[in-house]
Amino acid sequence: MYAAFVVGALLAAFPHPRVGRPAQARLAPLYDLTAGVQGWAMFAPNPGTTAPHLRVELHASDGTIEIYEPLVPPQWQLLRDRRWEKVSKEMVSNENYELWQPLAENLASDAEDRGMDVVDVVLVRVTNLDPGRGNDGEPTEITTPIFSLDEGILATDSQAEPAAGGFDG
Amino acid sequence: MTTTILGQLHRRFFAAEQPDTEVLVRTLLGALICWWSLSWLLDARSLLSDSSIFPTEAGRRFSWTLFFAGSPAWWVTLVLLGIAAVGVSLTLGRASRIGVVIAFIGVTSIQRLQPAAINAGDQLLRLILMWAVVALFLGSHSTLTGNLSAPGRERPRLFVASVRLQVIVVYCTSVIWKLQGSTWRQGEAVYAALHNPSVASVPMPSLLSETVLGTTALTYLVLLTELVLPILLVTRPRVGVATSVALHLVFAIFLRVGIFTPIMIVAVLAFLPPSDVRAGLDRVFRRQPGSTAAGGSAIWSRNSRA
Repeated sequence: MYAAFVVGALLAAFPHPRVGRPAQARLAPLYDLTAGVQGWAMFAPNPGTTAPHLRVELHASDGTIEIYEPLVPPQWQLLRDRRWEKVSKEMVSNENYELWQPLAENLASDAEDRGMDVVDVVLVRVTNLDPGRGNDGEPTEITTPIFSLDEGILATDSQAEPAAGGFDG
Repeated sequence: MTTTILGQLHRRFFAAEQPDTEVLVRTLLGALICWWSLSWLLDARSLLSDSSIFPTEAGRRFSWTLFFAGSPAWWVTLVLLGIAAVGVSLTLGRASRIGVVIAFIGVTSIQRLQPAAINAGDQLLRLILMWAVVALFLGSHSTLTGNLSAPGRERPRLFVASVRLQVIVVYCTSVIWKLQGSTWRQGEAVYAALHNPSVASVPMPSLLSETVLGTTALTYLVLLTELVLPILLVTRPRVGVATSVALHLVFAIFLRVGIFTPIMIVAVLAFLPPSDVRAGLDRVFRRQPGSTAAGGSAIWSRNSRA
């Protein structure tokens, strides 16, 4: 049984769509039970060249806009800073678009608890683009509104997404 | 020839051996689990609890979790403290078998609660615990007990063998993924990683990080090292372990990879021959003033009399 489990785990980890994915699909109940799904596309196929993160605009009824960004802990807090960085990045990923509505609702509810009369919550994807090897110039910041509590999904463009498959740490 | 290679691999992974390597990995793994769970305590309310602004998964996607009924902050905190306590018990070698089961259930439940916060290191921590549980339930020779001071019985160590296999899988699949990327093939990947503000850490000397020659050489060096490491770890374990530890320490200096570095180093130590582990620990503990016995600290000596 142990040998069979090892073979199954190795097949599911194999980075080829015709091997890994069918194995994962066929053995899904086993992987759910054992939490054994794995993927090691670290800095691969290409390292991310952007640093997308979440910015929130809380629009109040008096016209003011409160800006909120998750505060990433300092780098010496080795484990916490990666967690917050990852959460901030994942929340603006197109793959997680289903989280945008509950996230915006939670933010609105939190602001209302603080006494703010919220009329809209806008989730913004902020991306810092490096000029690239051999190019001069400063990194550019691109802001893309992706969701509004009032209007729903605003953009699912992949312009500011990390390079395909990039799983940086 | 195939039979010979398979025979060598079988001997390298599943041959009977002393428990020293297994105990070393278990001891360090316990310390890492403790650190991991305590570090979560500060974010329990803001990332894991029902009151977090970031939506949690709770029991929506998975067949089992400790948070089916929700994740109030007090319950999340209790689970994290429980995991930390189990980590300490694994380090001390007390109740190790039930300890790894509890740690696996706790760590997996926490990770399933907020998948958006999970990195490669978290994944590897969970998988090593999974292998410990699998080895316990499916392997007839697994102990996870034993101690470093008294000679144990030679027997196959399925937990250590599984961790070794897992490390090989990490390196092999990682290289295959990288070879599919144009930046790795063209020698530009290290430049991209070092200039990504969400990943870059301490600035590397500009000769290496800013020049085409430097970044191209580093890119191919990383690829080559990861390609060769599985072979080195199996055929020349000492050289392989030293190379792997050096590689991950360099990563940790220049890139922010979180718990991936320490967990990978612990996993790679599984390749050390038990005799090397024993010799190394003997040297370390002999230098400690006030040792109660030759070659052992108080903890190891007490174990030897048990």
